[in-house]
Amino acid sequence: MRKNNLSILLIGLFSLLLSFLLSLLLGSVGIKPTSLFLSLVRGEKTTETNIFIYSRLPRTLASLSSGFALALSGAMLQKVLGNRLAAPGIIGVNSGAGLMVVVAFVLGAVSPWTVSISAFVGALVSSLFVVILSRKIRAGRSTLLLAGVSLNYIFGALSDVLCTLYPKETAMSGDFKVGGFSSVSMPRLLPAVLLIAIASIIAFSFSKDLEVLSLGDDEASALGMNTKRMRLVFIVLSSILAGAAVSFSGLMGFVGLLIPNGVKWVTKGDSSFYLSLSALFGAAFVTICDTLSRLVFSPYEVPVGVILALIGGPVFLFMVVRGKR
Amino acid sequence: MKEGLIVKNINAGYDKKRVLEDVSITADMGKVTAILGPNGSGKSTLLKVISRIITPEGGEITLNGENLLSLSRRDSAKRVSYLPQSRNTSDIKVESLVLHGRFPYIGYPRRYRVEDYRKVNEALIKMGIEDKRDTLLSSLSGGERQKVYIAMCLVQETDVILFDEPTTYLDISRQFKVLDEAKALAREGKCVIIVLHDIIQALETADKIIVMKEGRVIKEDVPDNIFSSKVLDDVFSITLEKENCRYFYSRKKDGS
Repeated sequence: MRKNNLSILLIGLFSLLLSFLLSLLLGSVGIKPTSLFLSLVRGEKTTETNIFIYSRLPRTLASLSSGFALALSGAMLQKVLGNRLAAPGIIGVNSGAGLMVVVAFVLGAVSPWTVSISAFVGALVSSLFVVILSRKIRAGRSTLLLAGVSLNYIFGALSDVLCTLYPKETAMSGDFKVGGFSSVSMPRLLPAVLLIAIASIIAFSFSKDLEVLSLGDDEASALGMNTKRMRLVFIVLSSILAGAAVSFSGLMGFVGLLIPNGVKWVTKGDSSFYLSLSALFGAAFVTICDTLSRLVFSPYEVPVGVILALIGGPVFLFMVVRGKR
Repeated sequence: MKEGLIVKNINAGYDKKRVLEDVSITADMGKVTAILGPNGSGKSTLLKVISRIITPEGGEITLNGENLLSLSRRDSAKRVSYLPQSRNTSDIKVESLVLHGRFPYIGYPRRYRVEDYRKVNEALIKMGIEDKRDTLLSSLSGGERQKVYIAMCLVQETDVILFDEPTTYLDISRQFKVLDEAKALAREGKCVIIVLHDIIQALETADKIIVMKEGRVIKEDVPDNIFSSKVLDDVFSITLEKENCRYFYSRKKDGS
């Protein structure tokens, strides 16, 4: 068991490194590592260095951190809600973030910080709404999921209304809905990456609490935990992660569902291992998909959300069918 | 002698539904106290109040003179451990689960210490499940799982251990083993309180019986006195008899 876990961790690290390198070097214009290295060392400004610094580097950082954050957010939600269907894209966290970003566009607040903060606020408001509603009606965990699903539709519809009424202001929101990294720049990325880093560190430091909470409310309370407060902490953390990722990557909900389920399928381990592997594979998977999105119909780009769904969908289906046997 | 656990005038429930009405009980250190009562009589709720899962409306709970309700949840969990009736059998390894018995003792950042691992090891050996430490809980049998949960209580190092129907879903030989383990814990000086469905098992295992009905304590006494008072006959609508030190019961006949 332990040996198996170690090999999966090594596979995860290797995939991450590979996806990182491929994403930096491959695209409609191929970059040769040696000439890039020499130009960077000499401080020369060539087409290659420009592409590397202004396009590939931010894009790779964006795909890595968004995959990392969305998968980590999904893994936490699945543990906290005790349901494998829980994911930021399912319980309305992503669409809440999406709606607030569209609102920000309509109001003309398009700076990187305002977009990041609006996405975070949207994610937080929708997840809190779901939690408070379920507490008021003393709902079980599956009712909580269903409440989230309905919220998803409502927020999606409201976003569409705004996009129809303000087509000019929300021109960018089409890309936003499909999800992608083609328009990512460092200034837009950094605030969100900072939020992701802080939320991840806190989340990992509380992974023991997450495991105790997933034993059940009565068990966790009997071990001295304030379960209401801790559940709220994890939901807020997963909202920060999902909101921050959505702010620059658009709506890529599937990662948060697929990766944690995949990790659970191949390995059994404690919470910190589960969270780490989910984050690692999430980062690698989104980055590989983004690289493919640039390569498949090069020089044209397919939105990464499409590639994610085309690869992830069948993989998920396979897991569901195999799991059922 | 320590005065043990004293519950005084507790009222408690869920939302606006009152389940426990003015409940007072005592449970001694080094003794097994069994709680009996029909479904919905508030037995499990009482255990949940003592283990701080449910906050009571008024009343007092003291353990050896110390007011439990004034302690933080964490400190209270160092004094009272609780084995719930049913659990999620999540994908967790036996050793990891037992280690969480030490959760009340660790601060932030959450790291279990060498001492915690040592205590877990001792508990696993004591329960005879040291070879199962890397096994997933979900792949164990009901009896083995119960041992894991008891090991978890052991590392929690509490004076009071609450068992909520620990024999449910177990075959009869496992049921006796769990009851033996409860008695062994009492012999070590712990205050063991156990909710049981089986009246005979309760009468034969416990040092003291508490009978509950509709959220109230009807009677609290040693098994012999409980038997002779006929209180169980009334509460469960049965005819309880004793012959050659063995108890048995039959359905109460209509009109009797």
